[in-house]
Amino acid sequence: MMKSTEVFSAKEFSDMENIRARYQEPASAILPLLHYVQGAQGHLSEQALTFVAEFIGVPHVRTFEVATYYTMLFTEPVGRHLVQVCRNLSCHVNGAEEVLQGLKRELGIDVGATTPDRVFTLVEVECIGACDHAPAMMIDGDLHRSVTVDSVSRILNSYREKP
Amino acid sequence: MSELKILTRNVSRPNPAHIDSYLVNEGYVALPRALNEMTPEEVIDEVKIARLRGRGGAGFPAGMKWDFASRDRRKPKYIICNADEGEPGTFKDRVLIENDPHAILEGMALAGYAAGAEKGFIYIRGEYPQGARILERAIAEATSRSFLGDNILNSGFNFSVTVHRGAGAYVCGEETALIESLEGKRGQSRIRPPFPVNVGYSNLPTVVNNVETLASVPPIILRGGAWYASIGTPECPGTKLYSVSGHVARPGVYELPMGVTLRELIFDNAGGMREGRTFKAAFPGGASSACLDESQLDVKLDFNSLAVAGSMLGSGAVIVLDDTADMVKATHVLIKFFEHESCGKCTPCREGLFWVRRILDQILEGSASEQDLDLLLEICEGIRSTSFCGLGEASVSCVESTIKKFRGEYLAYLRNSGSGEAETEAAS
Repeated sequence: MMKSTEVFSAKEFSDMENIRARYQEPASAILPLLHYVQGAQGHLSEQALTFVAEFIGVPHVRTFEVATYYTMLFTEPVGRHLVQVCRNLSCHVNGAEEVLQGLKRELGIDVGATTPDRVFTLVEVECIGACDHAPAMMIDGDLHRSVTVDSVSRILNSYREKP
Repeated sequence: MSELKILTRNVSRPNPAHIDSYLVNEGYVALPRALNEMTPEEVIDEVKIARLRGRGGAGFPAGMKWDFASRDRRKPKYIICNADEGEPGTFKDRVLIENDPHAILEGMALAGYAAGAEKGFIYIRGEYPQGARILERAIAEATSRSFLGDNILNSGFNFSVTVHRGAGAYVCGEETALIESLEGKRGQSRIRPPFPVNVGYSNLPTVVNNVETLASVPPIILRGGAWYASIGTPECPGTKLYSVSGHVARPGVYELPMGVTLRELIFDNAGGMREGRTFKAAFPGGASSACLDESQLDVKLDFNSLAVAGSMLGSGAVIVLDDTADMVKATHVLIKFFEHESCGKCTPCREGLFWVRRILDQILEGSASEQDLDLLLEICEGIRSTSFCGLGEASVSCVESTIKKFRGEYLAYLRNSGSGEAETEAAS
């Protein structure tokens, strides 16, 4: 059995206990716990996944299979800011491809990659429910609507200094 | 047709998500009325009289779902609000979540009372972190005023709600995959039957209703099922939230009586096409619906009429394309989406969509032959008829319908490796 202090701070562990307590069925807390751990640590390390499985009382494989299934969960480190560009139809016909090219130019990386300074990771996502203001993208939890090639640089700059 | 604001009645109010804004406009009036004056059976009957059909896409009668769950004697039972709207082109539930969360909570409590459930979950897509925060705050407000929690308004009825965030999996919008995900597993569909109303969350009776469906319930209890049934069409009563996007002048969510035509929605409500452009096609029910062409502009946008027209209403996500659209590229975009989102459980969807995308790649590259169109349709038929869940079945509608209606654009790619636009005229 892993000790929590190997992976988490006391505060993190106590937050995790609160999340687990919200569910009568402990396994239902897996996804909220993985969201929480990723928020706190940036990604889901093997250690963290092993600990969460033991914390919930399920085989280790359970947290690994969940972590590798969902698009929004990362088992490898990502940049400090996650840039998610919608590439679905409503955004596509309103210039998403140009926006994506602009982002690639500005960041100097391809889709799926992280900038060498580890500030940004660029990914494509499927419909973020902002089709009325296409093209749209999300950076961390912030929605950016009606993005243009010209506004890409300004938007990215507003994140460079953010923690 | 002008908008009829029943679900969106609070959307343009100041600070709409706050409980006081909800209360001044008959908010939390239906719930005490039901708890004090109606039996659970009477609540179910009212929803049956309203003939409210599920707004998530399937159109199943909500009253029947509640009835089935209420008749199951096993406890506890669960109400799940499906707020995982992931169908590309859909953004209607977001409007309700962000602007009228209490209508959703009141609808859930009414569903809980009707079906005999004391616990509710809102499964909200991971891409809506702000929506999740708004719902959390609304739950705290409602609990502090005894509209949720133990012994609601001294009625003896208990009902609590937990917000549960998804993590970016389209398939989790399908109710059994959603339940798997809520149980802390990979979100993959279950075989049906048994249906969730009997064997749902933790294998217990579970009602899964869409956000819009649940938000429709308080007005139905307040004004009566007969009033609601008088709106829209006889088979599909009520209003519908249509998410309109793509090449229209004013994209947005429009609440209209069911059965508004595509032409009315685009030209009367969404501002028509962009200046100087003409209508070419629309996917009336999001990425998984078959496209409609210009000859179908007068089709009514309701469950039955769209089924007759060979398409489907789905969640009411109307993606409109004008004469600049390349239908082959549009189809390619949609198929890449489905390929990415296939959960991998069944072979036809997992492998089939890979091959469909590969052939579309080749068509766009100019390295395919006309026989490949037949092969494409053959694979689509296989996926449609043998996929495990409805999402797999519907994934190929875009390919089948665009080949049928815009074959000329495909042929143009096959004949020369240039753009397909030159052939559009001949096709339509």
